[in-house]
Amino acid sequence: MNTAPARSWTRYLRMLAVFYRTSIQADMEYRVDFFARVIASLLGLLTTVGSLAIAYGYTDNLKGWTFAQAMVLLAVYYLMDGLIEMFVGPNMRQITSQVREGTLDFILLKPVNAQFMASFRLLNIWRAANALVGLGLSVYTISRLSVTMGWAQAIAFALTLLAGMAIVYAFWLVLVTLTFWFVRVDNIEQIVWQAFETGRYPVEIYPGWLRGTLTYLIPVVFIITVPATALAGRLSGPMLAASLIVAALLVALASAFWRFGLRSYTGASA
Amino acid sequence: MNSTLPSLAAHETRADHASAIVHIHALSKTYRVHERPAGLGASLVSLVRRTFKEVRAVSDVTFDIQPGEIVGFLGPNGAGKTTTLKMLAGLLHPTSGDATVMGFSPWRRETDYLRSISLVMGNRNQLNWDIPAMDSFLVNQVIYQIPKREFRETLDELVELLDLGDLLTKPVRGLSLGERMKCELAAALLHRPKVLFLDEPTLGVDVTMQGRIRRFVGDYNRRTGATVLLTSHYMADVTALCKRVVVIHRGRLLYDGDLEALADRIMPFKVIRLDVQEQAAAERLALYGEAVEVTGLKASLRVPRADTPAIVGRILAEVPVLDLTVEDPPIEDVIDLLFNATDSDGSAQS
Repeated sequence: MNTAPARSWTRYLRMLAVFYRTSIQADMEYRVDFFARVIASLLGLLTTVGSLAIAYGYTDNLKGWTFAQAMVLLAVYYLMDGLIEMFVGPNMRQITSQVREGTLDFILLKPVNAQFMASFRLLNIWRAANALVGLGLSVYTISRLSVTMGWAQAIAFALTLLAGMAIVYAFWLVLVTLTFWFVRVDNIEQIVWQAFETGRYPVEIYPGWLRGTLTYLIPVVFIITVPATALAGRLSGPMLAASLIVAALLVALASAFWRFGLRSYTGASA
Repeated sequence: MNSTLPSLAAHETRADHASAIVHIHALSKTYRVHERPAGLGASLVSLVRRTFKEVRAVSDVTFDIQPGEIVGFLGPNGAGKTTTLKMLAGLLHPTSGDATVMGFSPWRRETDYLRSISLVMGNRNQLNWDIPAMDSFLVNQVIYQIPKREFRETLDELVELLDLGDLLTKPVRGLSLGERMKCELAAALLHRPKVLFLDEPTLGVDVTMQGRIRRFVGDYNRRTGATVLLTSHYMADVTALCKRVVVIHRGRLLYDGDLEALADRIMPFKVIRLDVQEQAAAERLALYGEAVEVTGLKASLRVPRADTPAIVGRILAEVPVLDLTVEDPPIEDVIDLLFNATDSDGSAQS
């Protein structure tokens, strides 16, 4: 016990590895889920592609977006949805039930950062289905756009994807933190998803007030549109920087709110 | 009825305050609870206007624990035991008062503190139900940064003491309540905590398993010198493990001291159980003490503690007795009497 503690980031990486390993192991108990997910994912995809195809049956260009470009957006939407359901969703839902059942105490008892443990404890491997469908569709649509994917472009795409995930995580964490005061908040998850779903279509098709909301209040633009733009090779440097800055800011804010909520949970602020 | 009870000091003063590992001083916790009368109308009103009530869960509690001690923490449901344990484990901030454990303020939740304590709650699980306990242990190994060799050694020891055997490789979901509790205990002890808070560790498990867990806690304490604060509703746990008890009721400290001395003070008598040869003899026994029970040829008498030897001598000389045993009154009765006395006293009102 008195051995020198490992460097903190390697320690956290090791924890992440063991969390994910046990999580995947637990998921193996429910493998039927995977095929159900793939089918659900493909069906959802078909209806969305169908409605897009109908819209583009009347025009070649929807507010500056061609059909192929809109398909890239859709692909990124599926990819993002899969990644969030894999990495973020299971943990955020778990926090809500842990607060209700009192088992969050076990996280607070551990000698690690509580936010880290609560946020990265679980991984839903079967939700990779959506991510895979999204990835496949991304590759396919990109090939049809005849854009060549360079290293810089791939890295920019990965960074914007990460930033998008971080933004969703931040919003969800804020909503989950509300559980510390109002124990029953199961349906708040819907807020996240309703906002997220608007990102399936180009933001330009929405009326001005909604577009403003989606850009500034809930930065849906950064979650799907920006990564899609990066994938299509049209992302500007400032936009990439903006995406990363917004993500970092929101995560910092959410983290502060979480700490505030935790203080109330333990009665420190009373 | 109250006059028969000796008055109890709030708590005993202990000379060895300085050497204590746990210091608790005037610790209090008040919860603010949302109050809502029954009925739909009232529910609707409470959506807009909430009324709050203050509940004092723990009130001005002071006591120390010496290193290596096992202290029984007693009180009826809602007495404030769990709230106190949660404050000591760093899960709750006190409203006022102070506590230090190994020199740490628990609610600061410093890494070094959390690494040297454990809280086991009999009614909650930390183990993942979908995987074998061993895999959850490995997660704890990484979380607590337990070196490989130390982990193996501790694990082997725990497997032996708790007789875990092949339980570790089955998914926790498939284990019985008692088996699960044994795994929970092992998971909580892998990092060799120096201070252990046990909240109803034998809750709901059968008598054999209760005995096993009880013996384990005693063994663990002897082997590692860990300090233990234990709550239980089973007095057998307490009598087997704890020389000293701290009793709280409605958040207030009622008694702190020797378990045996408590019995002496609250119920200063012994129970004599007798088997006699004839019915007439059994009826005559009432002359020697307060007859608690007389059925056929069996009887039990309550006699003042100090007079017990003399009375036993007289009975043996004067009554044809087949068998005679002298017992202490059951500790459950002692505790019960203590709580009831405090209730009718009106001295501990919320």
